[in-house]
Amino acid sequence: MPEVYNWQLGRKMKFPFQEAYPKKQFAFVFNLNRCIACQTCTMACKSTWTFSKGQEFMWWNNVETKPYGGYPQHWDIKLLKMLDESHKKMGRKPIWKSEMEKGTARPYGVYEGLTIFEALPGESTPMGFTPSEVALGYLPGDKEWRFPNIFEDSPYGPLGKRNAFVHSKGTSLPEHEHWFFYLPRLCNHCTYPACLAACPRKAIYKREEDGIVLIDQKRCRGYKKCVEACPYKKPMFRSATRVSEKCIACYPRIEGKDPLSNGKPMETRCMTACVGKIRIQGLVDIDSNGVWKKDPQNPIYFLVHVEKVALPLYPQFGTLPNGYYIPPRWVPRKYLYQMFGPGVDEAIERYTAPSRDLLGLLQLFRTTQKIIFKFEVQKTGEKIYETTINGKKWAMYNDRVIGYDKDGEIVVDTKVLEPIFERKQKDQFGYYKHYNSI
Amino acid sequence: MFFVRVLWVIKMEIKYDSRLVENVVVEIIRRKEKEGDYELSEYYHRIADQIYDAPKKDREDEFKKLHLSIFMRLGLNEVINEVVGEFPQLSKIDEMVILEANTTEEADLLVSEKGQKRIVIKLPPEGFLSSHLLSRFMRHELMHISDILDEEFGYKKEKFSNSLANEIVIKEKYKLLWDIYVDSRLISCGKETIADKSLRYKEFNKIFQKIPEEYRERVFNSLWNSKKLTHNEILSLSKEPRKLLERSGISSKGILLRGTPCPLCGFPTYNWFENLSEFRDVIAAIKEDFPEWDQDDGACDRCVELYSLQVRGF
Ligand code: SF4
Ligand code: SF4
Ligand code: SF4
Ligand SMILES: [Zn+2]
Repeated sequence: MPEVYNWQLGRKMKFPFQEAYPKKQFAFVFNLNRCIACQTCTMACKSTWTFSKGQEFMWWNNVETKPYGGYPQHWDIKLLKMLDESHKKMGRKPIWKSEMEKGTARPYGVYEGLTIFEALPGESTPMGFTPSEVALGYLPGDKEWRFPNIFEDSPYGPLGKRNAFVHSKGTSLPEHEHWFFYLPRLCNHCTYPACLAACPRKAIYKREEDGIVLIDQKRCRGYKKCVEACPYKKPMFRSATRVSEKCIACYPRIEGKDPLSNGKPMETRCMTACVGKIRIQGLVDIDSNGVWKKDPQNPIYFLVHVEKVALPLYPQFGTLPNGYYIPPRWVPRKYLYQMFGPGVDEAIERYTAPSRDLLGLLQLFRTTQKIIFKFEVQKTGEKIYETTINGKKWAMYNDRVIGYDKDGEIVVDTKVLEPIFERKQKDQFGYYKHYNSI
Repeated sequence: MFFVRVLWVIKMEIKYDSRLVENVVVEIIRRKEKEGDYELSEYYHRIADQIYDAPKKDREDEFKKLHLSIFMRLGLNEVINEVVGEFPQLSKIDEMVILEANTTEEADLLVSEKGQKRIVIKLPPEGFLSSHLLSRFMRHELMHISDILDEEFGYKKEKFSNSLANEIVIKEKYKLLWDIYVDSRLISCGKETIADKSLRYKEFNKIFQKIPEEYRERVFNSLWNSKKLTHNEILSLSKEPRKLLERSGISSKGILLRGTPCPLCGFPTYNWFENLSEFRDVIAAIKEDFPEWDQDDGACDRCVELYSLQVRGF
């Protein structure tokens, strides 16, 4: 099997295909500290793409409560367990070498454990008519797909203390004893997609122009190997057409072909609908060796590679997912290491006391539907707040923040302090009127 | 839903849920593939390819037919027919529908306005993975159905309680007691079923924790050996576990079952007052209000607290 370079793991790994990279890559960052599980994103996707017969149980975008929730049920725990067993069988340990290096080629150190492509016993033949296994995975049953929001708001508590709140005196960071958080998910349009690798029909392809991974609906013949192999369980089988479907990254919007977009690339439906303003999505430039081209003014590049506040979801699976998450601050670190790898401590530290650039960029989340290709924080604002965070002085400045579209035109121009509008007019009862009230 | 065949012994039609059939067939193909046996898989995809290639056919429908044909090829319907043959009582039934179970297996009898009788059986797809397992599942469910058909058993569809929480608790007990009755009879006449005595005892131990541990085995054994039970009996045993003790010849006097109602306030309690006999004045005060009451009947912590406040003050 060929070897490819996986920068999230800091090493080469086995993958059934040779290295080949798109020019740009669809990628997104979600700030988990802010998601309120309103499911507006979920409904935005459903009402756009999956409202037809046979798609009843299909949620390309979903938001689940961690640690217990999952769609399909227990998708991550099941695979982690399988991976664990493989490690035991092969006498390996899923450890990360702790030294982190600067630069985009090895930001989290080196993962010495097995990926899903390496965890299968023996060599596997990648393709052929008879479906063969290229990745460790499993096929969820109907029941596992049926309850997309199971265990909503169920918190984790210390074992053996059922229904008892242990912190009667309240709790404080860094870790809460009772905790849960919301995890919004969609296809990660992986750089090394397991779905694509597993398809015996070669019906799945990754687009050169934006790295979006699509299933050719004419070629697919319902083998469900993608459903089995995708570690994130994002391809879904549709009984009415007998083929598999998955998130298409709203590609007409990315291409600027949506009627609303006036030819400019737009963020997807689930991104732009986000009520909690937790989401930003964009396109990053990819070098010929697969790592990201240096572009610190690109919001996604900045969050992932400059500030390193946003981390890949289960990088150890090895598909090099292109969705990144700012980890929730209150969750026990061990859980977060398992989910986001070794970058967690640094990410939380930097998010807790954000730099002026980071704070400015966070203000841009959900200010426009256009994809922001470049952002700028003009550090000329006055100091508006001062405090101490983790023993260090920290100050907030009312800086100006600007976002530019693909052609360098300004699409957002705002400030760190959100503008306040005072209602001027009163109604007949003496209450202030809304601007839009009649 | 698919019509399969008319049994020659019995006039009953058997229909299979297409979802169940698909899940069973696909899982069996996958298991065979994992073992390196691709014969069925290749056959499946050969036919499937023809359906994909054919323009404008209703794919879903074509696939339903394909799955059912493989289901029959695997002989799974034969297993079901055989077990049905063991139950001559079913000759009164017009139709049997086999559905996929969401949680646990169940069986039900539906009677239409015109008097048509239909059995609905829900089975988990895992139940079909071996013919051995399947026949045991079917036999167990059909035993329930024959109880339902038996007039002496007196099956009635009814609400067990007005409170949803109670309904769930009683139903759980009812289901287990009936399962015990079903499996014990099957085993005693040498037939295989889904659970043996020790497994049912394990469940009994879990669900009937109200019965003090020292009596549990005796109570269970007397249930397991029951020759005749009726719907009403099973229901009353589910509602009042005290009766389980009584029917096993154990006097329930002085045994305070956890979670049963306090005779004074009527609220279920997990906290029976201990050492009541040491509180003569309190006992006397209670007796004034409840002349029939005896200290062996017990009282909950809260009632005793209330009465001792009355007689002793703060
Ligand atoms: S998340 Fe799954 S479906 Fe999406 S590209 Fe990666 S492997 Fe494929
Ligand atoms: S990107 Fe588009 S298709 Fe994908 S989950 Fe979001 S809304 Fe759905
Ligand atoms: S719309 Fe935003 S805040 Fe709401 S559930 Fe989705 S990701 Fe979370
Ligand atoms: Zn009481």
